[in-house]
Amino acid sequence: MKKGYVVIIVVITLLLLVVGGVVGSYNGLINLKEDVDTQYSNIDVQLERRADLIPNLVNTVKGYVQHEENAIERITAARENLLKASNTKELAEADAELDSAIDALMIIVENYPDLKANTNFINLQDELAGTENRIAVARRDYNDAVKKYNTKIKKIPTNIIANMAGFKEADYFEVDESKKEVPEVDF
Amino acid sequence: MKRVLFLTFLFLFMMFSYSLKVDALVPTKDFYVNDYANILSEETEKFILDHSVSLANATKAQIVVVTVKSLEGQDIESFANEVFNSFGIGDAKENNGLLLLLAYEEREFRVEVGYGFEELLPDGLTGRYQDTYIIPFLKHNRYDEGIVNGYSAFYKKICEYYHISSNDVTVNRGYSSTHNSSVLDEEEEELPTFFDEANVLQKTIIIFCYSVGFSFGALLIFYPFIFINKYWHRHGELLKKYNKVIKAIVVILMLNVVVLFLTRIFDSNLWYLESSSTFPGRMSLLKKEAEMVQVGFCVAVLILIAPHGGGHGGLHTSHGHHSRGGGGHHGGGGRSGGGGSSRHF
Repeated sequence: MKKGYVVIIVVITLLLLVVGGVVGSYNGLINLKEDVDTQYSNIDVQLERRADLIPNLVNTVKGYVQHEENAIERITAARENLLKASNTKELAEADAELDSAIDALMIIVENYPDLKANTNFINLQDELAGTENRIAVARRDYNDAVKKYNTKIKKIPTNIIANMAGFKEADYFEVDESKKEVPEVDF
Repeated sequence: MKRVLFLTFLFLFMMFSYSLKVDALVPTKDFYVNDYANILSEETEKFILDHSVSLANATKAQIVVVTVKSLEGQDIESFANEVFNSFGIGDAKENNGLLLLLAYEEREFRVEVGYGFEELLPDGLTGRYQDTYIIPFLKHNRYDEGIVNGYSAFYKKICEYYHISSNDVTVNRGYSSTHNSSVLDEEEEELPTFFDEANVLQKTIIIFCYSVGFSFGALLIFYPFIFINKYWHRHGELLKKYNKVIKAIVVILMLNVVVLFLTRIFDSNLWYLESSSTFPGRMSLLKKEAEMVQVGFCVAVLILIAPHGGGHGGLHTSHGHHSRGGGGHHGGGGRSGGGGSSRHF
């Protein structure tokens, strides 16, 4: 009789522990996944914000800068690619391309003192730099979240639950180093 | 012997979880002004501190000034963002914080804006403010004037937003080499006293409440183990065979629970203390004390019910590592997503 009690207590305790563990790690995975999604939308917001700034930038620059259609076209094209991008990888690549296109334009602008002194342009430059930095921060946060999430779903014993519940690995927001273009400028 | 081993394990575990949380740069006790580069005068620091405190009291918005000697290779944007978020500048809900950061050796300045102020202070504006009010002074190495002037400009803007008077500060438009005296009006309001009698009492009450609450929680968690412990003393004959194994399992489980429980507490529980305070720097001291009491209770309870209980020794190990609490918590204050603008001067 007393033996029976002990067995029952032990079994119930073990059961509770196992069930608790499963529920806990499933909920943990949900939280991590949610975090990844939130961070991703943060990047999206900032990318869009930058895309919205571009037409304004192009118009301002066009008024001062002649014979630099190439640089301007490159920016416009990069912006369109960014808006078209459908997955993390494409988005990251389009973002990097826009980065370097803007950098290239800023180097050209050095030759136009009138433009550099234009308050509207200074304002735009600040907004662009600020947005670029926000993107960098959002990207870092996103990649951190992805790293946490990916590690979790690969680790024992969470990987068993992740497999059963169909959690998939998330993509990092990054570009292959080889594909990064150095801004070319010819004077 | 076993108990000593057990406590050592526990201790190491806790040391480990603490050491992961220590940050490089922690706010000074003044919180609002952190002159690590040592370039600001006493008056400037007092001016900033007084105004930031009264602003925070009225609106919860926080303006923090930080100067550093060197960024040590890091770029100012990410450095500012880290400082902003680790200090937790601004209210945790409204994110209404503003950081003015000066890097002395790199000669760089950055205004970092919390999420909540991005509408009020867009990057274009912070850039323009720097160009007009700060950079001209910094170019001539007049750090006090530049920072006070820029601080005043942002202070005025924020006061306007909250509809409070900011007549006690004046802002200089641009730099002039003849204008020597600083821009501030010396008339200051009475500072509210935070650490008078009443607050000491408050402190005691809060610590007391926490320790009572915690010991109840600890009892609740450890009750099953106490029960098991008693049970196998009485009905040893069945369990004798597996005695060591079972005890080892119980110890490991206990350890897990303890570590889990501790991390929970340190992560979130005490946070509202920090965010509700207008003096986060000093409040974190109180938090540390509360943590000390908690850990003390936890260890005491553990010793009481540890395998082969009774006797003494080990109690003194409950001191020593508490001072590592405090720093490095995240998410307690306002956050910034990297908004703001930077200048070289």
